[in-house]
Amino acid sequence: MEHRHPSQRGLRAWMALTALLVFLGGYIPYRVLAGGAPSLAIFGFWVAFGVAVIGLIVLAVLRWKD
Amino acid sequence: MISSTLIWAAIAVFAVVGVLIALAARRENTGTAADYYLGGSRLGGLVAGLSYGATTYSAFMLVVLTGLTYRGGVGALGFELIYFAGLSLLVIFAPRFWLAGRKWGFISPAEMIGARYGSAAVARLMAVVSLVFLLPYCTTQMAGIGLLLSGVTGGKISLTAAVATGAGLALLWTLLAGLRSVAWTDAAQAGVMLLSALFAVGFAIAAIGGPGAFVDATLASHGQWLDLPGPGLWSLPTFIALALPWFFFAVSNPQVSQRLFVARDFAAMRRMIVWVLLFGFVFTLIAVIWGFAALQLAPGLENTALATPALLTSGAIPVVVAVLLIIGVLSAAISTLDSIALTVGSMVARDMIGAGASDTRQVFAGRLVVVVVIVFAAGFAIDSARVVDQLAALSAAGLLVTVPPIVGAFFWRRGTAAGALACLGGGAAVAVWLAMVQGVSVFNPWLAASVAGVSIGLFVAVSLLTQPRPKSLDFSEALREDLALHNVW
Repeated sequence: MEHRHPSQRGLRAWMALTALLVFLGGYIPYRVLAGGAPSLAIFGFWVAFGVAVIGLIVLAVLRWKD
Repeated sequence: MISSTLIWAAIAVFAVVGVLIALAARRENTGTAADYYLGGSRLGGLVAGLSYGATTYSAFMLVVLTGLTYRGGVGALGFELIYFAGLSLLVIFAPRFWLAGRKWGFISPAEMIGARYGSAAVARLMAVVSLVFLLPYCTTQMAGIGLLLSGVTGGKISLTAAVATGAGLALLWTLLAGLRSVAWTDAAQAGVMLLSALFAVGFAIAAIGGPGAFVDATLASHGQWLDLPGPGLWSLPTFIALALPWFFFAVSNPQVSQRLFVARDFAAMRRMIVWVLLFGFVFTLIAVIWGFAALQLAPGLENTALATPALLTSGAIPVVVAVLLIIGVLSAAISTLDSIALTVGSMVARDMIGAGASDTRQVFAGRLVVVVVIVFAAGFAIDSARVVDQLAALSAAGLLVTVPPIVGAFFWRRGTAAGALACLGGGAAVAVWLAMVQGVSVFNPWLAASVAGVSIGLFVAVSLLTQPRPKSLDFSEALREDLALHNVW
């Protein structure tokens, strides 16, 4: 049975989360939010997407040791 | 229109301040190649971060991205934020670039990749590919300056004069003290870019009647622009075509990946990344909101690249603020241009002439290349200012070919020099053939997908058919302890 180093598991989880976020960054606006009555929904979604990206990256670099 | 005299006066003040900063930076230089091209790798997080931000966020933002918003609506925000999400690659690659740079003294990303595969030819080809695809990007910075200055003055500042001004300042700040003067002026320019754009957007929204009135007016008159695909531009294939290559910008573009060598320590690198994130996010929102404001205050433009000059001269923005924003766009263009020129210069100095040459020779060679790059870009901009959108995006698609060898350098030991050469050469050839010969638009996802597919395929297939060179470096093994020490994934 393969034993992965804990940090590698963390990396894989973080990469999966990031990939999912990027996918949703295209999927939700185009496939869920598009085509409705004029609103700020898509704009608001992408602003939230940007904040989530910042959160994910900051979360990852905060664990670095100087 | 805005008085050309007023603009020249503002540029003069801007130039004097920039020269003073560059001269101060020059006093810190020690004369070595590492100092000239990397600032001795002693930059703090704030300067490194703002310099990274100013290099990445160029005149493209307030000229092209604003124009894309004006033309196609909210899809521009999504496209730019997918690029922004590409900064997540820094989590993986920033520490590895930095540690490799410290361990082996690399100055250019191409030099690092060449050493990894044990092949000077890989470094040289990577430098050539970067040069070929970055020149169009330089041209867009020049064209952005030209469009803006001639646009706001009704042609009283000619395209040629505008381009010459941008070229002159970029040359001066690069030649004076290399990366240190570029980084210091970049940091100051980042401040100018952000503050001027915030002021200008604030006045534009106020002129429409405040945030509520701005939203109501946009929903009423341009509701389609808040939807996808908008009035037609942002179909899903177009979105993918533009977003795919830009997602990898942080790794594929050497003028920004070289910044990963410059932080003085790990703490500075972390602060650098946080500053880039904050700067990039705010600046992206500003550029897009600015485009929506232009739809209200300067409607009916045929050439959407002129949205910013049209808004600045619409009467809604006080002249002082408009001039400040013009200096902001000029800053954005110059900070990107001088960084690209310096990076290309370093690649020629290190990868063409060789790290064995004296520091004086390496610095001289780099300076010569800086002059050639900027003069070439200026000349091309004067001839081709109207193709600004296409040229900017083509460079991102073309530079995709550098991604497989970079990823392989750290994560695939089986990657070989022959694989890297095939990937760089074959991928670049496909990019040029599709775009220039077949006329495939950068708005067609087939272009980026083909370039990515061919380059990955060639890298993997040729690597599996060949053997790693004896003198190739094993980054993953050599950096393992250091990565663990810094708790890096």
